[in-house]
Amino acid sequence: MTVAEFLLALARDSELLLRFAEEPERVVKESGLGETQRKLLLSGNLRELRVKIKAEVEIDGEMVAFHTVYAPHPVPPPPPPPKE
Amino acid sequence: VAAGSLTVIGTGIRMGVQLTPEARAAIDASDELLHLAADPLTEEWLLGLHPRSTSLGSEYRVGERREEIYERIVERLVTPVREGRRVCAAFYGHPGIYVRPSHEAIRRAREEGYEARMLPAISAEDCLFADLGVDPAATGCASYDATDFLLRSPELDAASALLLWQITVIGDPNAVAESRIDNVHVLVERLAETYPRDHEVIVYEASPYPIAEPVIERVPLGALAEAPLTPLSTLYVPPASVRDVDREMAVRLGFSTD
Repeated sequence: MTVAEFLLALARDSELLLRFAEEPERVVKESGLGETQRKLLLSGNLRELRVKIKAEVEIDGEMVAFHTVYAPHPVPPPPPPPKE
Repeated sequence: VAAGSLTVIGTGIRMGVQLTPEARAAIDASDELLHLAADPLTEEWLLGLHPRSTSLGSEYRVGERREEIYERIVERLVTPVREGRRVCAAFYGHPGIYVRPSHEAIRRAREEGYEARMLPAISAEDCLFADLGVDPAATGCASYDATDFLLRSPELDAASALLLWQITVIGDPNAVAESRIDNVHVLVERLAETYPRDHEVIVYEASPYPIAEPVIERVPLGALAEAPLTPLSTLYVPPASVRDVDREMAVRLGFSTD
């Protein structure tokens, strides 16, 4: 199991999530993950988790920084130059 | 009303635990699920929620104008509706907050005679108020897209809280491969017209994983450009002053003036 797979399991299984909330160290140990991965999961450090997940999850094609779904409305064009 | 339909839902921010029962029912009732998440792991989770589940992430190409990407997404959502299918479109966070294609797809579907609706969800702003422990009602709270804020220069009230979104793509209309932080100093200059440079601001990112902590970095406004910004960073500027009560109005409303 990988860190990404463990997080997916938590998202899909509410009983596992509840058990993790009550006994995080035991649940992580039962997952069979290595010590470094267990420490990372228990740290709750989002930046480090992101780095790990990026390394684990296969991404097809070019990756954008993030999927923004909003852009400012078009800016009005500048006024025309004054007539001479 | 024609046969096809469109239901736009939000997944919330935290993968798997912020999807409402109402949104889950909309997924189950649909013929297909089209979705867009903020990170690859959440995409994978969404792929498992419906036998006909497709990511819209492939529409993003680095360097392309976001407006064009959003137009393609709108058509990806409306085309199967025109073919008579019940489409569920899932966006991360709240599907109607900082989401251009969701509103446009609903507008277009309705205009063409199809049933289309949006269900509310937990937004990044909701997470921010919970994680920072601030109540926008206490002082009022203004909220802007950072680029829009700089372009339109609204009047600022330092007694209210201020939220600025998309601070890592200021001035860039395209899809980017990396955060664009070169214009953050322009934002600092604008804010420094109203707030002291040593005023503490908060760089915030909600956690998409139920076991991870949000990113909360407190920095002086003047040092914002050097702060460790992540692609999804949001800026929270706490109030810098206290607004006085209008005593005349207080009396008029029946409050004691003691």
